[in-house]
Amino acid sequence: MEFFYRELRRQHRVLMEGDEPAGGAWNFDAENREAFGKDGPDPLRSPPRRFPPDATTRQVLALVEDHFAKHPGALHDFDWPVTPTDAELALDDFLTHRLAEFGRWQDAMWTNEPWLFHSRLSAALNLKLLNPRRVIAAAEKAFRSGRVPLPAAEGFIRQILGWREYVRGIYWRHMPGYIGRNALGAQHALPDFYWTGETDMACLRDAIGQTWRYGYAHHIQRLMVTGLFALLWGAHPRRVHEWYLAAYVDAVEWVELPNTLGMSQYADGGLMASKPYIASGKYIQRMSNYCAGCRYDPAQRAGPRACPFTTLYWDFLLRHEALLAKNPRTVMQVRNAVRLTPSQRREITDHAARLRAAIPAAT
Amino acid sequence: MATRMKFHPQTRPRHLVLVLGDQLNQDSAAFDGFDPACDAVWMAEVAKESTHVWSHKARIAMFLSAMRHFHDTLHSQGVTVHYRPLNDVTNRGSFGGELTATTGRLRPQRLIWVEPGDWRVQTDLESTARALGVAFEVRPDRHFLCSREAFTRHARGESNCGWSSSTASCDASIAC
Repeated sequence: MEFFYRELRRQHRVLMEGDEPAGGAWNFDAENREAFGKDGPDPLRSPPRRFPPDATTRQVLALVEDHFAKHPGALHDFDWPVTPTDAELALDDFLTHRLAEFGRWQDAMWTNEPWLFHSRLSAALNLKLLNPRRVIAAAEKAFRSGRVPLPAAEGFIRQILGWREYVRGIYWRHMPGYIGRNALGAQHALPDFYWTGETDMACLRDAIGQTWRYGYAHHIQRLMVTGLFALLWGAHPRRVHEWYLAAYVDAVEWVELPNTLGMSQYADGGLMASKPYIASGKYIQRMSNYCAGCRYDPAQRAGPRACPFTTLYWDFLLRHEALLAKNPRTVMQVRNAVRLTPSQRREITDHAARLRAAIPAAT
Repeated sequence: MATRMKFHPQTRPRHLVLVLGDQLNQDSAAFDGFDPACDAVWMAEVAKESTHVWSHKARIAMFLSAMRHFHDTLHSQGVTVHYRPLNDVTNRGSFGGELTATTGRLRPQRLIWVEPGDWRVQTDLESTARALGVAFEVRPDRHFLCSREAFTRHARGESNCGWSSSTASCDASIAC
């Protein structure tokens, strides 16, 4: 994807200075991806612009409540832009109030903060209410006029010009076989709490709760909370795909499937991602305040207070030791698993089995 | 798009342009050469697209509301839109069913649509059009900066990830 992205940058003259990338580098992620301090995101920042339902949307909301009464999710907070005019206003709101901080906080999470510094433009883009060229040009202009730092503009543009175009290419190049891939042989049902939000794990409760309230979770919640848990759990990738396609207002299969099955679940065996994105509960602890309000401890891998992410992370390393040892990007992680004593291994495996028995499956 | 008087809805259209819920851009290739005097648009709200996975109510509402607003915009420009609402009692519930019904009634000379965002939908539309024996044309989706063909060239290690003149052109040559 990195070379694909550079090619598009050159070809469309995006953030370029002659033949060189603006700022002398293609990627500024070293300056992005901070976590919030103990006080969390600035409480005085502007909330995202809302688009309250007009008469047409109100009719649709009533129709959906009537025709799809048993479907999951709520409608009372529906405030997405549904016209090109409103999508343009949403873009302007993001550029003015959030883009400058987007890069810095793009991987951070905070309880009851569904939007943070994210753009909220994915649904408008995927329904084609917004043209990606317009979004990219506006973000570049914000940088050129000195309103936002380069790492923020570049990080955002990479999502649209790089990843979004790349996943579409992957989808059409590899369908229809792609949807059936299951490189890790994952066979478990998705836990039922994905559909109800009822779990004691604070991060999952928050990410899934806001998903069913708004039809939205931001990138890192999707990848490193709901996606990570499903990967560690060993959920069948087809079930995970169906959940993501159902749950999000921006979900169209060309974009949802490679992100879920490839990027998040590694079911395509490394076509999208160079390694399985696995982490213990400590990653979530570092990037959020979720663990402070949770009954589980991400530092413990077995026992009643053990964080299920941590238990299942170690269990995953043990289950896929051979595969992970062959990948230079995961060899360090697996080395820690190799050092475990037989009794430590048994402790992890037993606790993982108890979790699988205790958490009900979706029907 | 020109804003001429729309033709009588019962007249046999030259082109019936299919617009799906994730194709709500008027600069789409679907509208290249569109003539409101002899072409028409088809849109359908079908339950299958909300139930083939157990969709969030807000996801369904997002698509339906944006589709209805798009319909209103086209209508205000004098475009004939054959639009099937979800709550129409005769709604057949799937793209295939609805397209078969509309095509049988209007007998357009040609169906036109832009590459859908879902392999299943593309297959459905193509097999429906073939079963009906109606000419159809699938145009590239210019919303994206990299065409499918250009991506394939990239994946094979060839460079130039963009639109060649051949992929960007479309057939607007059929006379009215």
